[in-house]
Amino acid sequence: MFTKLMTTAVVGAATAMLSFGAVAAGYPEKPITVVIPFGPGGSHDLNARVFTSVMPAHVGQPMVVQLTPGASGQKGAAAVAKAKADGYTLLFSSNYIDQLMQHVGKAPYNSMEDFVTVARINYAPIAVIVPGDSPYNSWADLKKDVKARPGKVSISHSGNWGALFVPAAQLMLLNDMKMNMIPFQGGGPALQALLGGIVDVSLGFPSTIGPLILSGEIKVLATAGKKPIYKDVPSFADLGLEGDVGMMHRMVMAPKGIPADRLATLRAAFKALQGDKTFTRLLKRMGENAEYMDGPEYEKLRPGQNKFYGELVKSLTK
Amino acid sequence: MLEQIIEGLFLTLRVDTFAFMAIGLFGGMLVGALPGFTTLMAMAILLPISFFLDPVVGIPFLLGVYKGGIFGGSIPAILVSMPGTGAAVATTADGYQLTKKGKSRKALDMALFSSVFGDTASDIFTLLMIVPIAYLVLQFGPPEIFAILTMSVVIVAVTAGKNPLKGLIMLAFGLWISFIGSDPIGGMERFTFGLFELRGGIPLLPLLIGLFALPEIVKIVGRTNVGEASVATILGERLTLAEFKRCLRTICRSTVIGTCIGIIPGLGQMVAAVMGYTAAKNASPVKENFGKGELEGVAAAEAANNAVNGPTMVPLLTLGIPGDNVTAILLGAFVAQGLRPGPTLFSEQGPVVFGILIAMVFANLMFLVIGYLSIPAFARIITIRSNLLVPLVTMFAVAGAYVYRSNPNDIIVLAIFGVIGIIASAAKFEVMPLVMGFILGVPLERAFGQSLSLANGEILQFAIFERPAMVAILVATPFLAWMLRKKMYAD
Amino acid sequence: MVKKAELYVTSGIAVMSVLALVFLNDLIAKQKMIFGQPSIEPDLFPALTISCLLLLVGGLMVKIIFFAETEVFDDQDNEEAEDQSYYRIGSYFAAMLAYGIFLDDLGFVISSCLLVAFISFLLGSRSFVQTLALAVIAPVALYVVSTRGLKVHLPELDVIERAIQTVFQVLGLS
Repeated sequence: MFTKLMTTAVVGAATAMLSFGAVAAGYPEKPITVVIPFGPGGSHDLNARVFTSVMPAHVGQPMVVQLTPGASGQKGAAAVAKAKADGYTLLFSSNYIDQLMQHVGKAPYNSMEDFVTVARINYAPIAVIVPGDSPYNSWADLKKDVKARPGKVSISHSGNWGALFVPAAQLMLLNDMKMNMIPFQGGGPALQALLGGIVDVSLGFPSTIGPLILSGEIKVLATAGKKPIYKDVPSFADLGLEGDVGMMHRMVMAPKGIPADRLATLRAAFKALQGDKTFTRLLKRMGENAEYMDGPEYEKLRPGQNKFYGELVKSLTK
Repeated sequence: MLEQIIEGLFLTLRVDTFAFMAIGLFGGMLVGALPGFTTLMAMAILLPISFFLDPVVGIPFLLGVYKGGIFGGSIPAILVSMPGTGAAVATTADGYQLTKKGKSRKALDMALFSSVFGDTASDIFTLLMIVPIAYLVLQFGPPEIFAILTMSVVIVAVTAGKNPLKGLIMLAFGLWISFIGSDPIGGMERFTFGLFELRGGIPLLPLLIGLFALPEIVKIVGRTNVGEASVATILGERLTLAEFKRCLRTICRSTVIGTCIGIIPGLGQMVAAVMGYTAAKNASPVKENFGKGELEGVAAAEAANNAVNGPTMVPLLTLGIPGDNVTAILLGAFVAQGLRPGPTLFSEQGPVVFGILIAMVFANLMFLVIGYLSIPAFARIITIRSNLLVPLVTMFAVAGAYVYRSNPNDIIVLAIFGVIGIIASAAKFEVMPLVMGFILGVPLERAFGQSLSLANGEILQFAIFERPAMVAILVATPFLAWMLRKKMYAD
Repeated sequence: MVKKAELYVTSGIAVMSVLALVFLNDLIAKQKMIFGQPSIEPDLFPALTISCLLLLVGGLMVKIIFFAETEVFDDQDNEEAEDQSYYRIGSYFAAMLAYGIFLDDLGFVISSCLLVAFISFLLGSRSFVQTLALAVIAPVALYVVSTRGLKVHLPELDVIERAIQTVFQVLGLS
């Protein structure tokens, strides 16, 4: 009796306030939650802090970051898949969570059917790195030694099926190389193991290894993508590795059932963001690129990724 | 270098640096005091603000939030036995007992002074020894980390209570709980019974609040005449200089322990706090008072966990590698300002960086004042009468448990660990080893797996010839644990 | 009393460990081989730990049963254990579980309000007005601080979220 009374009172008061305020019915009319399926402090978190701090100027509402780490990113994705598709809950995902994890283990959602891309914020190309005093001076040196001593050369990565693991596995698979893969918790510890001489080879994103290259602590042997990033360092394409190898895409996704007009509003806002000087300046300083790609265009990439990763996982785990 | 330091000093001497630091310290303290709202979260939220400030304003601001937050976390640990992080667990042991005895202000003061002391000393040490520390950090690989973690947990388990068997049982049980979820190497499911909800593992915060706070709350709830009574009616005196001097030895010892543990990657504040506490108990002439409201216990834990902070900054500054999530956020703040941490940072941006480091030291001093003035207000919380305080504390506990991962099931986890805590206390099992096992289970297993992978099948050869330090530590562990135990429980 | 509790706990853990070891293969998923290279199995470390646990528990049980009195405990805690009301403790936990179950449906403010009021009355609060005030003000304040100040997510009904948003707009804070 009492509880019922109180519920009525609270709801009553709330409705009264609502009618008093008479909010306009346009979307968005309340803060938008962006779910990050990783813990705080990672590169996704930092990138999200950048765009959510600039976004309010373009959507007219705050964007609230909600960190939901766990189960290799599937927990956050599952939460968004389950959320109401009203445009107030978005996911800041990566291509690995989006298209790869489902091949590794059962996922409680279906990426293709449950999510639609709002926009790709940027991508990060991977680089193959060795310590400054390493005997390897080129990709060819490394490849030769690995082939001569299969399973003896060690490589550190950021955890199984993580952002450094997948490119390492792709490289090994495509070149028929076998290295001893040592998992670390994230890219930082993997890099530290390389510098401490615990492993022979590692991978890293340009945003994290920049100063170490300048000081000569590490050498870069190759970078992902078509065009070389560093002078005199070949790109994966130069080495004959075509396709979407070693790229981590960071994109904002929405539950698939989102009303078309709301999706359009969001897509327009992210597009407008690209003209925002503060946004591009901050990204540049973080060492990230602002290679924006709009939603429909990224959508075209997803089926291909799905197939590619499916085959990758199958051939890795046979 | 001296020129750069002086230039840096002048860079920091501006009103807005100090104003923002003060805001950061105070705000961080408030957020840290709310269970569930970690300092890390506060820093991530405030990071964008620092983007738009001058480097010598924005980064000290974030550092202020961090330092304030760490101390803030010990406030609920002392007042309502509710540790918000693993680092505050050792503080809870004696802090809450002091509160119950009506000495909450003394306990909070002691936490503040020893935190600031530990932090400042380790900051200055780090500033002077940055080059050797940077070298040392890289010498620890997974095998050494595995050995040191094993040593820490075994020592704590064996010395935690009167019966070493019980401590070891709780340790193994804690390790077992840490297995629930995905394994740290291959990401395969373990003990999840096919439930997706368990894939992410058992969350830390509901476990801590459940084990430490709920048994204490339930004691109050179950009391037949709770009514208008409160946890403690008096706040007690403030800390006296004599008491601080009495604990100074302990504080210094803990600072050294904390700094050393900070150098070893992957150990962190909790190990430091617990080891500092154990060492203090071992050295004290009144060992039996520990765990029953001994000021030295609070001092030992707080000095040690804050002393970790200096060395953890080293890999960030010298290599651009963040060792944990806090330093990852600081890295974001640095790079957004156009400062790229790494080997070239000091030669390129010397004055600014020294300015930031000097601001860190100023922040500590300023925090003494801010903290000292705020403590009476916080301490007053426990004078609220129980039938208002208990519902409030419960609300914070459940909200904190939820907010950590936005998962309502975590509230059920909270209740389950509350029951475990009550059973453990009825059967006289210490919960500290369980928490150690749970928190360190994942890094321990990861280091174990990494070492095995590195050995590449030749385990003995690898251990003896390439990693003799690991073997030495592992062999020494049982003897060391036995010696400490004998000394602590001589009677 | 303590001895009995000790026995219950140790035998409970012993049973769990034995069951876990017997059914280990069903409880732990098999590692996927990567490049046919068997990296460390996910059940290696758990199997080691649980076996140790079983040994320790066995040792403790032997000690409790055959070596009579366990440690002597000082009576500080026993004094506190005087007549505890199990009915109230049970209700307290029940309220917490109910909160966990209904949080997503009722939203943070309403569930917390009910929880605070319930516990307060459970603990013998006699002032209706004071309790009600606390039960309304505290959750709303925490909700506003969390979602606006700390920018974290708490579940809330659209009605209440909009109402709070409206108040913010009226006050010109949004």
